[in-house]
Amino acid sequence: MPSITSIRRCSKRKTLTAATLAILLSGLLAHGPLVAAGSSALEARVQRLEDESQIRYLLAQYGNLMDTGDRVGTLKLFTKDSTWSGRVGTATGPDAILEMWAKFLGNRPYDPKDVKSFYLMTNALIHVDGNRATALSKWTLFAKSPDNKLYTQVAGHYDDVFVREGGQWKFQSRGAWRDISPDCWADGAAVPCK
Amino acid sequence: MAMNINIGRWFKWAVATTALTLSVTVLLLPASAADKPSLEARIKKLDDEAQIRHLLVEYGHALDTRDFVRYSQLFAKEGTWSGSLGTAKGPAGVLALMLKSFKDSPYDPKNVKTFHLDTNFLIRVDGDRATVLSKWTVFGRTPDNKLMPQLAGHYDDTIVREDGEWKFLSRVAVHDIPPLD
Repeated sequence: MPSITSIRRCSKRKTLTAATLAILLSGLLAHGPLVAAGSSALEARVQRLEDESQIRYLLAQYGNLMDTGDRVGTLKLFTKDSTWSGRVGTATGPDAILEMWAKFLGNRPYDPKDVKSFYLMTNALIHVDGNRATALSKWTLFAKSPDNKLYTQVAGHYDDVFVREGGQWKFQSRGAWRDISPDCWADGAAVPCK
Repeated sequence: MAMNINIGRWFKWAVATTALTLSVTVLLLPASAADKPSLEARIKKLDDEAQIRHLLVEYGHALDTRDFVRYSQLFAKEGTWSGSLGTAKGPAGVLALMLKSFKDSPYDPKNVKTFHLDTNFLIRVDGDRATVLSKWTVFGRTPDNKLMPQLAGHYDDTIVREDGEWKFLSRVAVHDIPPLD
């Protein structure tokens, strides 16, 4: 049988060890999640900036691909069930959109030595909400007149919904709306089309 | 004897609790932490993009205000500019070409003749190097004081980090409308 003193000593040691362990454990419990929560809040902020950056890139990429006549490439920026709407109508899915563009926008092959038109993409207002985002932006189409002059042809805005699909932002829907009627070129000046 | 058994149990319990705490802590870490670049690296990339956007806009501003000293400082030591005015290399070369080319069109804030819109930035950063595509559109004033777009094209850039600052290693100014003959 252990003596009373040794029991006391032993229980003292036990209390001390327990206290030390408790401090260590609570430290781990409190510190771990706190650090995780702190870095995940920072990570969420970084993620939002990255998302905005990727969506800004997407907006410019759409313009660049359309300008270079790569409509198939443009539609790779869209989800499979995405919708494109404009004055010419609404189509769902890349194939239907492509068909609608071919019908209404005609076939416009790109020749770097003979650029017919290009889009300026500006005024992007991007709102990210998790795996979904919306954006409003402006487009201005510049064109080349028959006598080789640059003029502003038509302008409008985009009303977009994006989703994150497989880690990549894509257009879920794009409304391409015309705000100012197109101009044609006549007698050396841009005038309203007849 | 009884005490030894108790201590033994106590240690088993302590080891089990510690193991549990550690595994819970590990589980609480973001699951994606392992396969994603570090936060520091991600912030650096965003930071680089912001600095490159600034460079692209500052270029246009320096050009429009004919501040060719600042303009030439945006080029790397071996940086080249190519376009309708020819090709120049290094800040001194770029400065000389621009001073010569724009000597008859000084900047007057009360009588601005032209300016550049710089838009549609497609920036790809890869470490200390970046490639950028963007558009430029020059607007001018007609003799009867109207604003009119005059020239447009795109820039094809390679940008590098030199002494901690992003600079043009090569900027090619391509004319699209009207094209160069």
